[in-house]
Amino acid sequence: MSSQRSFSQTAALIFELASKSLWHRRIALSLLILAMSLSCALLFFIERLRVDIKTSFAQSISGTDLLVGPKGHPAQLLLSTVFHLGEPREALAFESLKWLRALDSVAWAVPISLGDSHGPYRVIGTEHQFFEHIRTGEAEPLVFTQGKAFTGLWEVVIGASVARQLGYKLDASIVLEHGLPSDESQTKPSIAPKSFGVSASHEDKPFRVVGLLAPTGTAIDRSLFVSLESIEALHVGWQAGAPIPGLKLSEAMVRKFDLSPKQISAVYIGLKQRNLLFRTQRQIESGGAAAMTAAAPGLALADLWQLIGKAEAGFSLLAFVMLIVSMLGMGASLLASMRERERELSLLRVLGARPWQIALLVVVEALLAASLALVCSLLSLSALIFFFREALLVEAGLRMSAQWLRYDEWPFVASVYACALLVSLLPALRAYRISLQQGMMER
Amino acid sequence: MSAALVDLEGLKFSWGAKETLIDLPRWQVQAGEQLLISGPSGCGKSTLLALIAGIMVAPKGSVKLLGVDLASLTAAHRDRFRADHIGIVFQQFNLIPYLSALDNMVLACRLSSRRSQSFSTVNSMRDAARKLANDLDLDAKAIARPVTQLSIGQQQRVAAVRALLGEPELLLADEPSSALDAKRESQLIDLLTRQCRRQGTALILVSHHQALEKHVDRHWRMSL
Repeated sequence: MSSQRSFSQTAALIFELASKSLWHRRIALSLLILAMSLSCALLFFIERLRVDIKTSFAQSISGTDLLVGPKGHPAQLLLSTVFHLGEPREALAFESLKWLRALDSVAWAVPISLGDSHGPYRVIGTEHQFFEHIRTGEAEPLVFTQGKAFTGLWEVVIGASVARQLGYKLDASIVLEHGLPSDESQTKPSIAPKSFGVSASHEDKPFRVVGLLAPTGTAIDRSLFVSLESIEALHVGWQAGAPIPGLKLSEAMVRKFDLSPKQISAVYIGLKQRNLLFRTQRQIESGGAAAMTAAAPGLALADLWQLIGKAEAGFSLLAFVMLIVSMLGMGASLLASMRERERELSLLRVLGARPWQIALLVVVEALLAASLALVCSLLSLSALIFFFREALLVEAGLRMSAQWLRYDEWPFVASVYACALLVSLLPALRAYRISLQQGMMER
Repeated sequence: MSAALVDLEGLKFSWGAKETLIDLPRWQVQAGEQLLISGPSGCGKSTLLALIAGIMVAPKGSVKLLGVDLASLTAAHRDRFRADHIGIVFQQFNLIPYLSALDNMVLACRLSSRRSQSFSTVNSMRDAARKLANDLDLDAKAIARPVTQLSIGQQQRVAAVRALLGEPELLLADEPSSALDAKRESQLIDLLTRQCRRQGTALILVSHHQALEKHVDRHWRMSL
């Protein structure tokens, strides 16, 4: 059909004119394209960060069905035990663990005890089974890059970030502090027996590194693990959270004390069947000697995200505003260029181009520029994520995947084009109105 | 008698409330004829061309091209008519700066469905353009350069190729060579008239250089 042929020919011509016009002005446009690329990259980065943080959080505790702690808010329990944010309030008696293990729906229960630290990192007292049952990521078990789990007193397993940032190797000797981690601005600790200089340190009882864990992208990377007995042993000769002055106990003497654990902070539970979750939750919260809260991690996280939701929305909005700002820059540039392009566009009209074709030319230029910005931003963002994946995982505990475009990001791509289209409308209108006489006839 | 290519009847035109600029009871150009219109500045030569091209529409009188009254067409059809049947060369700013000489040459053809019909692909258009450029003394090296690097004479010849490609019935040239020295002007007009003769394209040449009349069939002096 000749009309079809001419339509595609016209489309090809307009596309060719648009791309050659952009290329001709490439130096002037380069700054604009850079601005648009940066704002696009920011938009996509914020979105990916948002999604990946959520996923990372959710994956911190995959494989654990219930988290049990002393009575309190489930989100707070989750934050303090899984993410090491904030203080655990009270403690559970060790007997509760026995009671929990006795429930028919419980397949396994692993206790943890918080309260000690090593610089900015938390020390977690737990049992050997921690390393067998706890899963992270896509339900992956914990893996040792060197060594193995602790078996007795004065042995410590350290997470990947701790090992990397403090340079600890197998058999290193380290000292733990009482109390929660000091902030990161403290100087690095030296290897035993010196401590951080925090007043209450256990410098008389150094620990030996027996295992190093592979990175998990969770708070586990920033933790040190010792047995519950070791925690008790650390506090022998202490009263009300401080050492008894003048009392020095040798290691051998400490072993003579009863080191069975008395108190724990929380218990991770795996159920025999997923569908027993709510029943077990109710059972735990209503039965039992002590008042306990059983949090389902997924639900607690959902609560958490609701709280954070507004801040998230704020960041996304900011990124969008930046995109609009850069797009407006392109629109202004296009509009300004209409003045100097009057002759060129009028010539096209004289040669037979229709007004709508001239307007379309301007719109296509804007869309092409936006395409270029998009491609640049996505490629560089993905390249950056790819190169910094390891560092992100170990330093920030964040797992980010380096796909160049994710399937749920298409709405953002569409919005970039929509913005470009909108800012091109005013220049296109100007172009539409360019008459045959403009700049052509000498008056 | 065959109908004239260009037929103006009772044409009156003025710019705003000023006195009438153009007043032509009957004025014709035959197919294949080559005409020089000369006259002092402000006499309305360019305006007349614009009216013949359909770039402007006269409120009084009729402008007929190939028997078609331009005023009877819609703006869209008028544009199409001009693209299909008329080639235009201006005094300056003839070319699109971001297109190569070759792309400039095929531009008018690509914008006209009638003129592009004689070519199967854009590439065959380009081949024809190269040949025509050669006839007009533009070598391959010249047309490979960006148009902004061509001399004025070369640019005008590129514009001429564009106007002639696809064999329109009429070519309008508004002071095409006024920026050139006498020798080059003579060369350009010579090439132009020869090619028009070869193609059978009528030529209306506007210039204040009356000496150009030796290249054309007829010389019409326009007065104020």
